[in-house]
Parts: sequence; structure tokens; C-alpha cells
Amino acid sequence: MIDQIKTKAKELLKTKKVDIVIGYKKASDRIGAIPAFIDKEGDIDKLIWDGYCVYNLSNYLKDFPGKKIGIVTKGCDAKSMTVLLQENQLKREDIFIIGIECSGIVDEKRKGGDIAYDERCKGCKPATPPIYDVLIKEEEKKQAPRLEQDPYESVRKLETKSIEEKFKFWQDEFSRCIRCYACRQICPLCYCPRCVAEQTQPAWFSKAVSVEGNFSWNVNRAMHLAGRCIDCGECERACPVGIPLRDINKKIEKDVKELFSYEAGVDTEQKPLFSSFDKNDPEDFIK
Amino acid sequence: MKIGVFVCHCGTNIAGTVDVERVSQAASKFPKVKHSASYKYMCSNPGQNLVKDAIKKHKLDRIVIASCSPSLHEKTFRKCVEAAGINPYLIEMANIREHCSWVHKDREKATQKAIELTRLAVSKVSRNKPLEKTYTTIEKKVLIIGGGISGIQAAIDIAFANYPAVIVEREPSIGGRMARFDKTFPTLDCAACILTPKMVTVSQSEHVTMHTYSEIEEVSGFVGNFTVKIRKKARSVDINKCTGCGACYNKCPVKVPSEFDMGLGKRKAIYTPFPQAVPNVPVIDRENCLYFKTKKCGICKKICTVGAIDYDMKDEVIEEKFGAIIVATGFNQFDHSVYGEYGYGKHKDMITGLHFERMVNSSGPTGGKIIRPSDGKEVRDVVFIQCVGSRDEQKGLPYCSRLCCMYTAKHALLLREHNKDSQAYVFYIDIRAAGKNYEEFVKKVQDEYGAIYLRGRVSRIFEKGGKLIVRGADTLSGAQIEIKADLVVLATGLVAQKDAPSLAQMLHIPYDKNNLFTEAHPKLAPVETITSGIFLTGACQSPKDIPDTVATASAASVKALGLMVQDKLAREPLIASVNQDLCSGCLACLKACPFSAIEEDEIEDRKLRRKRTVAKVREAVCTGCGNCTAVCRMAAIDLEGFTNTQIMEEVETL
Ligand SMILES: Cc1cc2nc3c(=O)[nH]c(=O)nc-3n(C[C@H](O)[C@H](O)[C@H](O)COP(=O)(O)OP(=O)(O)OC[C@H]3O[C@@H](n4cnc5c(N)ncnc54)[C@H](O)[C@@H]3O)c2cc1C
Ligand code: SF4
Ligand code: SF4
Ligand code: SF4
Repeated sequence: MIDQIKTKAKELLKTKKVDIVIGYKKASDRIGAIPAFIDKEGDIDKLIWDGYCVYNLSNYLKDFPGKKIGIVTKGCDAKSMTVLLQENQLKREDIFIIGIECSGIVDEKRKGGDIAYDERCKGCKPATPPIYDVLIKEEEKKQAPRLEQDPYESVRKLETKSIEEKFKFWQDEFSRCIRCYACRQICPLCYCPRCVAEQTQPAWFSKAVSVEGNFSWNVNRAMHLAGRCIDCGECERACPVGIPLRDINKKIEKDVKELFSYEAGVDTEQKPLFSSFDKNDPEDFIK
Repeated sequence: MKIGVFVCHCGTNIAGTVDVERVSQAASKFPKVKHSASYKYMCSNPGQNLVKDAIKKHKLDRIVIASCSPSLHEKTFRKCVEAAGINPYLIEMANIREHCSWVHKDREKATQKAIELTRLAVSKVSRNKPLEKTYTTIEKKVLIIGGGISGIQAAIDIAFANYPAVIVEREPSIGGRMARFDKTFPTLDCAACILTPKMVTVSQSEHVTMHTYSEIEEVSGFVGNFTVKIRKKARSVDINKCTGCGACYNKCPVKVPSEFDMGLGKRKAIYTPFPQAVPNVPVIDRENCLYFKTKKCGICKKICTVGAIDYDMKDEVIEEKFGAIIVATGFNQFDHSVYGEYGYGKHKDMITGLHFERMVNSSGPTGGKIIRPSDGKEVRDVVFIQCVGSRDEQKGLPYCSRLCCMYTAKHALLLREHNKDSQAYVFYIDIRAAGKNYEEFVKKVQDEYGAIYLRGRVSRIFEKGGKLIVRGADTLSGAQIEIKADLVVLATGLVAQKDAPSLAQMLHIPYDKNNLFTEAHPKLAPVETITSGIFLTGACQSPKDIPDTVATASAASVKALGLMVQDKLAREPLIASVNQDLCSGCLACLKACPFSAIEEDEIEDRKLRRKRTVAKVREAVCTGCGNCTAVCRMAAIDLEGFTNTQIMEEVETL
């Protein structure tokens, strides 16, 4: 499999189809994987592929304006590219997607172990990227059986709480937020030139680390990803204080799916959720 | 800053529930408020004078009126303060009537709420900016899409007012459906006798230009300034040379079914759809023409004495500017092949109302003889079935097509007139004859023309012994009925044109779930669309008979002429604008804007040192609806009159 990736990367660089290939290489701890930016054929052997290739590489696409890029892309990460294309942030002709039909990545929090699937991989099927230029499949024998898990298990658990309990729960979680904005920086879909969190005229919410400011920030972040978040899980992974950000994202994802039959990242041509209006949209909220 | 607050009693409408005096007193203590007062009717002349006098006396520079909905009197008070020397956009209205006194009972709480609403308006107005109206010119020409009776009438009305009108009709001739009819209900005047003179008037008017065999390709711009691309399909006959002698189609060897005659007759490969066609210039149907298929033949070219035939003619796309557009594209017939009980449209002797119109027409394919298409024999027993497709939510249309009761009655009458021995049977659900002299007409058909009306649905139709056996129930007598019919005529419902959605998208006008174009208001703006400068007439909006069609055509013309007579159009400054530095170029706003008022723009991003795409509002098109501001995550797009700073000021005050 890695050979296929390397062969393709070599071909792309050699034929000058791309200027650079973004993939994964071994981290210095020799276990984890970090992004690799390869622009010389000689460096191609650094490329790896295994269950530790966790990062969503599409976040790096914007760092090479005007360049043609080849990019190694898991199913979930390809979805964020779909949204970026849909939102006019990428040009399709500028990227060559080396799609990986992956069989799941490791749960980072349990580093070192065998392939213990990350939470989100359990509900991910199919793992085929919605867009790609070449598709590389994981070998049969390596494919661990995919569990038929409800992707909204933890959301459903939260939903059973009363409003007061939910409020209390999130208040406790958000009270730990240190406003480092790591969640925003790592998010491939947070690309605003100037985030609302930094605007001053008007100042939309308090910049101070306070329950009120933290709540506003986190709700804003989540709402700005409504109908867009593709659950690559990077925000939750990046959050230094362990706020379960995926639970908020997933809750919105579930609502959006149920209310508007809309799924983010599957079709570059579909109108963004908030830009579309349909006469059959539910209006139960109007009392 | 000196803000003045004026609280209105609205008689007892507000004062009945809200303590107006207390609101006024409370307001006088709000920050920056220099003066407050109340009055019985603020919108009345004395009320307005009170405001004007206070402005002068207290040197007020911003005004809050606490009264009714801005949709009612905002314009009134804008004018009022302008007369007193204040920019008209430096006022705000606090709606303490619809939003307060009318919906509450508790006087204390209502008064509290009125005070809060006024407080918000005061804080909002403190962030208002003086704004100026802008003006655009108006192209003094009206485009009419569709040359049926509605388009023709509209062109006549516009031309009568000495303004130029351009008809774009996609068929080779104008006339629409009406040109196919023999007689028209309820007066039974001959369709050609009343339509042809109008067609001739249009063709001879110096103010009307006709583009037949043409289609709309692209529409851009906005009220007063539409730019339209029109594709003039290659007719293969030079319209300026042709004399309409008809030698070409007399000699053309190719015969194909005539669309105009609903396939009941034949036409040639070079043809005019009907003898009274306007313009009376044939067109070559290139799909069937031998010359185009095999490069042989060429008879028409040889025979034409004026050299009008041009096989090399190409489609031509012209671009014209218009101030207003009238949409008059008419209707189509419901496709009854979804009904199994009627044999999915497979029986030869089962036709639709439009076929019947052609048959009964003395200049039609049968010379006015009503015959069985299968063997050409004259008919005796004819079954008419109403509501085919109409009023059937499951398989057909949810609505009533309005005309089928009437044209079926007309058909039953004409049948007996053409053939004294014939018998009409009409299956119906209800008779809807709600027009002037309509009920009388149906009664006449029943009483004097012996049409047998059977209330009930047809359950099955099948062929036996050369006849069509029609089975159904008469729900009034409870009897099962079987009729051996020579001919079955289906009164198929009226539906939108197939291309209606794509035309609507081109024009940026809405259409409903039945693809019928939607008017701006069903009662109070029935011929307008929400896109200013675009008007509707005729059956493209909803099923309409000729009287209604002509009436809406004249109504739409008046609306278009209302624009034509203006020197320039004032545009409200309450529109959106993009802060391009903040804009990420996601173009969510572009996709959300229902008026296509947002376009892509490119800026040089100094920080990134490269060009990038951003959004830009086309000021002349923006209606200020605010959809875009709601979808912009970056808050990069702002709406004058409802700016982020104004709204935040209100939120902070809460
Ligand atoms: C069987 C039958 C019998 C009827 N009998 C009567 C009667 O006796 N009395 C009565 O009052 N009413 C009668 N009507 C109703 C009558 O037909 C309509 O009221 C009338 O035709 C509506 O006129 P219109 O101009 O709106 O539409 P149409 O007559 O349909 O004309 C629309 C025109 O627009 C053109 N067009 C469509 N789309 C485009 C496009 N995209 N670009 C350019 N051109 C386009 C079409 O080619 C057509 O020429 C009858 C209807 C039917 C079906
Ligand atoms: S990464 Fe975590 S701590 Fe940092 S801003 Fe986001 S939610 Fe707050
Ligand atoms: S929605 Fe906002 S950020 Fe996106 S293009 Fe429009 S103005 Fe720019
Ligand atoms: S305010 Fe409405 S019309 Fe104007 S640009 Fe925004 S969405 Fe379009």
C-alpha cells in the first residue's frame, strides 16, 4: 500500500503534475506520524502509511498558494476538502487527491497499543473518500472488522439529560477552556481572515477567560461549523484541557441531518446548508 | 447628540393598554434624550407638526417614534423629519402597538415592555448614520416573453402608450393556444375573428418588435436596467425577403405530423404553423428537411422567386436592454398517461380537449368534422371526462384547472352543432362555472343541447368491437354506467410549461411547487413578482381563461408603464455592503442572496501578498433583505439601517 502511495507521489513530482506532495512521515518518537512536505523525488522514501496517520492534512493546503499540490487523504479528511471546495477556498485543479480507503486510525489517547480504533472511526463507513483522483485501498488482511457502532452514541446519552443538567455539564466543561484557540487553529474549516473572537467593532463577546466569554466562544465556534463540520476530530484532539468538542459538533451534525437531510462534505456542488432555503424546511420552532 | 422621543396613543389602540405618559417620562431620562412628548395621533398633521416644531425648538438631531409598525408609517415620519431638516434615516420606530399593546392585556407589564422597546430604539438610533437615496436610469423598453393572447394584449397596451415593446416567442408564429380554437366560451365568438386582428395590430405597430422562433438565453441586471440575451433560432428563411406566397411549402415533398394540429394533420418540412400565422413567414424544420438530412432536394430554394431561402442561416444571439419584463409564457397540458384506468393514453380514439379544438375548427385538419382518429368515421356518442389530472393530489395536480368545466361544456355544445345526431356524455366531479354568464352557459348546454351530465368518476376504459367502453358510476342515481363511445375526450388540466423553473431561475422570480410563477402578493400584488420590474400575466401564473388572461395582461402593462414614465428610479440606501478585508470569500452570501445581488470580486490581500476572491454587493440590485448578513460567519457583510453596531448597541442595552 505504501508502495502505491510512493509510486504515485513519484510520478506526480516527476511529471510536474504537482509541485509538492503532502503526506505523512515518522515522528521523532518513531511511533507517531507527522506531516511530510515532499518536493524532491529523493525524499519520497520518507513517506509512510499506518494507523498513526491521524492528522487531517487538508489544513496545510492553504499554506501553498498558487502551487499544485498532491495530498494523501483519508475518507474523513477528503470531506473537509469537499467543504473547502464548496466554499471557494480551494481550486479543484490545484490539488491531486491521493485517496486512501483507510481502515481506521489509532486512538491517540491510547498511544502505543494495537489498533484500537479512534471513537469516530467506529461509526465511519464507508471509509472511501467522497472525492479523489486516485484511490488506494488498504490490503484486505489488515482491515480490522468495522464495528456497526451508532455514531451518535454519546450524543444520545447527552440528549437524555434535562436542560439544567445539560447547562451544568457544558458550564463545567467550558469553565476549563483557557481560550488558547487551538481548536480553531487546527480546524481545516476555520479559515476566516479575522475570527469573530478577535473583532472589536462590534465586540461580539467577551475576550476574557470567564464562564460567559468561554460559553460564547465555544457556542460560536460550534455554530460556525454547523452544516460544515465533517468530524475529523482535530479540535478535540488539539484541546489541551480535554473538552469533548466532538460531542457538540456531533449533536449539531445529527440535528442538521434529521431536520434538513443535509450532510456536510459529501458533494462539492451542494449549496451550503445556511445558504439554502427549502419550502419544506421544518418550522416547528415557530410556536 | 440630541435625541427626541415621541410616543403615540394611537387613540386607544396603544393608550388602552399602555400608559403612554409613563413611557414618555421614562424616555426623557434615557441617555442622550433631550426631549420627549406624547400625542393622540402622531401620524396626523398636528402630530407631525409637533415633531417638526420640537426638532426646531430643541435642536434635535435624531428621532424615535414609539407608535405602530414601521411598515405602516416609517415613510411618513421619514418625510416629516426631512421637512424639519434632519436626514430621514436618523429616525427609528419603536413598535409599541403590534408588538405590544395589541398582544398584551396586563397594563403594567405592557407599559414596562413599551418602555423597553423605546429604550432599544433610542440606543439603536444613537448608532444610525445619515444615508442618501441613490438614483438609476430607466431603459424605456418592455420585454414580453411569450406571444400568446396575454403577450399580444400586453404589447398592444404598451404600444398604445407609445413605448416600445419586444415580444419574444419561441414558436414560429405568435398566437399561443388561442390560435388553435374554433369558438370561445361563453359567448361562442370565433377565436380567429377576435385574435387575428390583435395579431395584425401587433405586427403593424411601429412600437412593437417581434422575435418569433426565439428564446431567452440570459437575463442580468435589475429593474430599469435589464440586459437580455435573445437567441433567434435559424429560421432558414429570410424574414425580410419572404413575401409569404407559400410556393415553398406547397412543393416541399416531406410530410410530418403537425404540432399545431396536435398530430391530427400533417405539415411540410418547410411550414407556417397555421394559415393566419404572424409573421407569415415559413420556417424549415431542419430535423426533417431532406436538404439538411441528405443535402439533396433543395426544391424550396429553387422555387422561391425572391431568394428568401437560406440553408446556411445560423442562430443569432442578440443583446438588448429593457426597463421592465412581462412574463406571458402560458401553459401546457397535463399528461394523462399516468392514469391506468384510462389506458395510459394508448387508445387511438381517446383525445384531449386541445385535439378536440383542432377537430372542431373548420380550418383545422378535419375541416371541422368530428371523427374517430382510428378510422376517420364521424362520431355519434362522445364521452367527455372532466378533471383529468386536476384536483387529484395523488397522481395529478392539487389544484382545480378552472377552465375544463367550461371548455367541456363548449365542446359538448359544438359537438351537437356539428352533428345533430350526436350525444355528449360528461363525467364530472363538480361543475365550477363561476364567471360572468358561465353558469348560464353550462345550463344551456344541458337543457338546449341535450348533453347528459353524469356525476362520478370513470373506473375503466377499454376497447371492444371497435368502440371504447367507458365504465363509471353516476353517484347521484347510484347506477353503474357503461357507455359505448366512439370518442373519449379528456379535459386534461393545465400545467406549467416544462421549462418554467429554468426561466424563473434566469429571471430570479419564485415559482411554487407546481412550477407556476408566484406573484408578489396573491391579493394585493397579483401581477407583480418580488423581483421589481418583472410582471406576470396569463396562464403561466395560474390557469386562466381568456377574459382573465387579457385582464392581467393589461394590469401588467400598467405596472410596466408605471416604470416607463419615471425619469429615474430612487433606490433605498438600506442595502448590504461587504467589508472585503474581513471577507473570506466563502461566497455563502452569494448563494444565499435571492436576488443575485452579490458577485465575486478580487482584492490584493496585503497581508497574504496575493490576490484573493471576495464578495461584493451590486448596489443597484440589493433589496436589503438581509439574508446575506445572516449567513456570513465573519460578520463581513453588513446591512445599512440594521448594522452590526446598531444591533449590538441594542443587545447591550437590554
Ligand atoms: C382545450 C382548451 C380550450 C380552451 N377554450 C377556451 C375558451 O373557449 N375560452 C376561454 O376564455 N379560454 C379558453 N381556454 C383557455 C385559454 O387557452 C387560455 O386562457 C389562454 O391561452 C392563455 O393565454 P396565455 O397567453 O397566457 O398562454 P398561451 O396561449 O399558452 O401562450 C403562451 C405563449 O408563450 C410561448 N412561450 C412559452 N414559453 C416560452 C418561452 N420560454 N420563451 C418564449 N415563448 C414562450 C408559447 O409558445 C405561447 O405562444 C381553453 C384552454 C384549453 C386547454
Ligand atoms: S482548544 Fe480547548 S481550551 Fe483551547 S480554545 Fe478551544 S475549547 Fe478552549
Ligand atoms: S458570506 Fe461573508 S465571508 Fe463569505 S463571501 Fe460573503 S461576505 Fe465574504
Ligand atoms: S441584503 Fe438581501 S438582496 Fe442585498 S445582498 Fe444581501 S441577500 Fe442580497
